[in-house]
Amino acid sequence: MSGYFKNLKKPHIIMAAMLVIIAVLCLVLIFHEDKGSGNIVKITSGGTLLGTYDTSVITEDIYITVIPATASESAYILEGRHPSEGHYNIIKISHEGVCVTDSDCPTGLCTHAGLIDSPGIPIACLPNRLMITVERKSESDTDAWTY
Amino acid sequence: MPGHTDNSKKIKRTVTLGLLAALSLGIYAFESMLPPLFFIPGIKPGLSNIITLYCLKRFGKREAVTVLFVRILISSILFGNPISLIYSMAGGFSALIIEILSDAILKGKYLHITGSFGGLFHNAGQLICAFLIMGSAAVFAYTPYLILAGIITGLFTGLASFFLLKVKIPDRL
Repeated sequence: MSGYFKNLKKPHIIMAAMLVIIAVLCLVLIFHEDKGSGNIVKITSGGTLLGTYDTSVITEDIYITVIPATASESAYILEGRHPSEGHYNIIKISHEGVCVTDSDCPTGLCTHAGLIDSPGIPIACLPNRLMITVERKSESDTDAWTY
Repeated sequence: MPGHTDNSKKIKRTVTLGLLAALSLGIYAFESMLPPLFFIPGIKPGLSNIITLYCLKRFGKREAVTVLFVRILISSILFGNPISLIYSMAGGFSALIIEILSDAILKGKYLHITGSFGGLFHNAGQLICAFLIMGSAAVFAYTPYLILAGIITGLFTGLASFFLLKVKIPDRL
């Protein structure tokens, strides 16, 4: 027992234990992530909300192009697919969810993310400061839709 | 001639640090060519941290800071943009600060623990940076993935620099 307490005084055991606890906590958070689906798609660029779409009322796929803010212009959305010379992300919003189909960013991580329909994990495009999140309709809205 | 040897020692040290910075840059370039491991931005092996840790242990704090700074500056000019410079600086320096602290607490032993803390704080620093740049709290949804990835990759880079430190680099090639 005394050996156990002696060990506790050693900083490496405390630090290794901290790391293990943090890692386990992360795993628990990952496994308990919200995997349910939502239908409110929010498109944010550089902190400004550019658009909100309700996937439950979408019957045909919608394509939009998000142009991030430049030094002179603020960010905006174009309807349809418009790959441009500058920076852009083309987003497809369908009844099933939302995905980025094309982007000018170097790694293309946002296109790798695939289709999302859950509030658990968003799609981010760091170079273009684009953030796509899915939310649930609030309870009262759901009631209004169901009944 | 003591003056002469002193000077040649200084030159040798500068050249070695330059070589290490170049090596770190090369590792960084190689790593950026690898296909992305996961769709979450910021999850990558972080192999250039091996060189940063090596510099910290073999030369000291100031040398590690210099090599890290030079590597980030040149890599951002060559492969990146002003925004990637901010991300790299935030990640690189929060990792190095915690590694210096951790190395002092652990009295220079258990480099893998130091490396893990470095990886963890690298990703934490970049996450806070992403929150400020993106202006959206939604980035924090990535926190558990980034923290876990940081600990695992940091463990690996810490072990790698531990074994690198065991290698005796010859004085003359």
